[in-house]
Amino acid sequence: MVYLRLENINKSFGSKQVIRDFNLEIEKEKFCVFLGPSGCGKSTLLNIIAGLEQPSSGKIYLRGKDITSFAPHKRDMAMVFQDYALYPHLTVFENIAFGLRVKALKEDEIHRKVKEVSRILNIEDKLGNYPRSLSGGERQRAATGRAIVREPNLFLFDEPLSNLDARLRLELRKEFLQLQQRLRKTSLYVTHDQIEALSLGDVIAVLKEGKIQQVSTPYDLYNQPRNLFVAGFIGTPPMNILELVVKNEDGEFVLSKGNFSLKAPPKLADKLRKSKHEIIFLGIRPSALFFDNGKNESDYVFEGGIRLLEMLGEDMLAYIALEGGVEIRAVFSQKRREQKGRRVRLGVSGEDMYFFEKNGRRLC
Amino acid sequence: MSRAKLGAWIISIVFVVLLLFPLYIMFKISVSAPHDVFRESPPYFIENFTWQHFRNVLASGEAFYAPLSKSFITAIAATFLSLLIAVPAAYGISRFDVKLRYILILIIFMSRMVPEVSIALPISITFIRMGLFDTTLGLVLAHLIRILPVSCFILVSVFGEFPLSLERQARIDGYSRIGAIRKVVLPLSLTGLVVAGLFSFILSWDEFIYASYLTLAEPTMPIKMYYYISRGNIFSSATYAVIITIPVLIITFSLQRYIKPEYLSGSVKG
Repeated sequence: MVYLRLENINKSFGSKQVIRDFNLEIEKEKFCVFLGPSGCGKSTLLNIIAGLEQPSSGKIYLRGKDITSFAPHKRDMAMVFQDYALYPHLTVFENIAFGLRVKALKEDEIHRKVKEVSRILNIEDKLGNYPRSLSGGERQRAATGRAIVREPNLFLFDEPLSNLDARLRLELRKEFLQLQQRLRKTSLYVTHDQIEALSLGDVIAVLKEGKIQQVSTPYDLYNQPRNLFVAGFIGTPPMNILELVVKNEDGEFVLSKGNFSLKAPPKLADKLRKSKHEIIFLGIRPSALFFDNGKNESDYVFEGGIRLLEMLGEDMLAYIALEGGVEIRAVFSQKRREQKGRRVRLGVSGEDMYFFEKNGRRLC
Repeated sequence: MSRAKLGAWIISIVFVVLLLFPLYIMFKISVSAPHDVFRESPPYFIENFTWQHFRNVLASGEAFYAPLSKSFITAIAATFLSLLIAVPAAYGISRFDVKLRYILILIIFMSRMVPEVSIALPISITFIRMGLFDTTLGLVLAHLIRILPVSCFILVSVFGEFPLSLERQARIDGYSRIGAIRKVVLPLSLTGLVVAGLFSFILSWDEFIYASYLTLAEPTMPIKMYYYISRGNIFSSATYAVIITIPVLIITFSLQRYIKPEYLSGSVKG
């Protein structure tokens, strides 16, 4: 069942268009993540859904009802801001109770609800504190508590974890995941952190310059990127992307850049026969490359020297210089104890190779 | 105490002494016997203390109480009106982008580019025609000319500094835009409102030029003081000067507790 529907949303600030023809349907109880680099319009989109900004054109439907012209307080949504926006003059208890007081709930009901939420979020002993005496994580929890206590139609999260340090972020990410499984509420979550998006989202919408690039499950987003932008944006370290010239040599397609060349795999050759392409992009994830010892079944083999090595922890990231000035990134276990300057043979299977048209669209 | 700190203390004390010394002289004259003042080399300390000058001023009855109440009513009304006009205006201006904000403030300050002496006369002529001459309302309106740019300027930066997400949070939590401004923005901007109000009050309280053009039968305190200065009664003028200073001191000190720089701390992470 479609819970929230965004129809042809456009938004311009002056002459700058930040959202272009945005269409999206979100099902009930789904956790949807808007993912994109900064300035892609994802926060603006959230503000439009909350009613804090008006779209230049387009409609928003909540449970089939057009709410485009509704003021924020008529939409009954809860929002957690990046900077938490706690009321500095109120205690944690009063911060959480704020929305309930506006709704004029009974005092004992307010107490019951605030207590319950603070228990879930583990801030029971902080209820009497003022925001300035809280740590970053506690502030974040208080802001989240203020949102969930209201039992709203929709949760909106605007980069709620981006102000925390890495360790706390990991901890709160897990809490978010647990909270989401417990509450099962329809939520929209904005982030620029792909790992956060992949770990939290039931559905992820990737945005670039105000346009949707792809909407899919985390699994599909990682394995079946629809275009070059998504392929390059999702995954760390980022996918290797090589721009290659297509040549037809006696019916066989060869992809090359300088001295570096390889034969087009059959799935690509089929496509190239159907439509003409002069330039294509090849994408290979660094983790899809493995050491070829002649025995394993690699469809393609790259040879080159290790130019730089970065220790990532369990893994190691190597920059490998291939022929013709082409450089690729490969990730492998640090247990191999590879050295800088060593020559390596890297294999890759044909199905781990992604091909994109010149305009960025996925070919196969 | 470190050397730098000691230096800072010495400089502060020198400044305070330089600033307070004329005030001290004023106060000294207002409570000194005449023969202590009219001497070839008057003493630095109060030798013969007397409340006589204050008693004289207070005993002058209506001649003292009428300007005092006129000044109070004018200053309070001007403060109230200036906040009433400047709060919504400044809030609106603060929500424009920075460039437009700057231009608008500049336009508002244009009214202060014209010297008050040169517009006071045309204003008084206009006010005579409109029946506002020598009325409290007329003087309040004239005072707003000098107050509004300042209070707008203060409040624009107050509202501009106010975290937008806090206001938005209140709107998400169930308040209309006006409700959010009333219940969250204004209470939390109290510091700025107090400063703007304080400035408004003082700018009206000690205003001289408009008052001298626009009042006749009902002068304000500064005009009254000038009357004694021009007549050479230095004891009455010093006493008036002290009396004019007192409310400003009281208001400043009593409102100081609202001026808390850390009022918004803990609210948003910057």
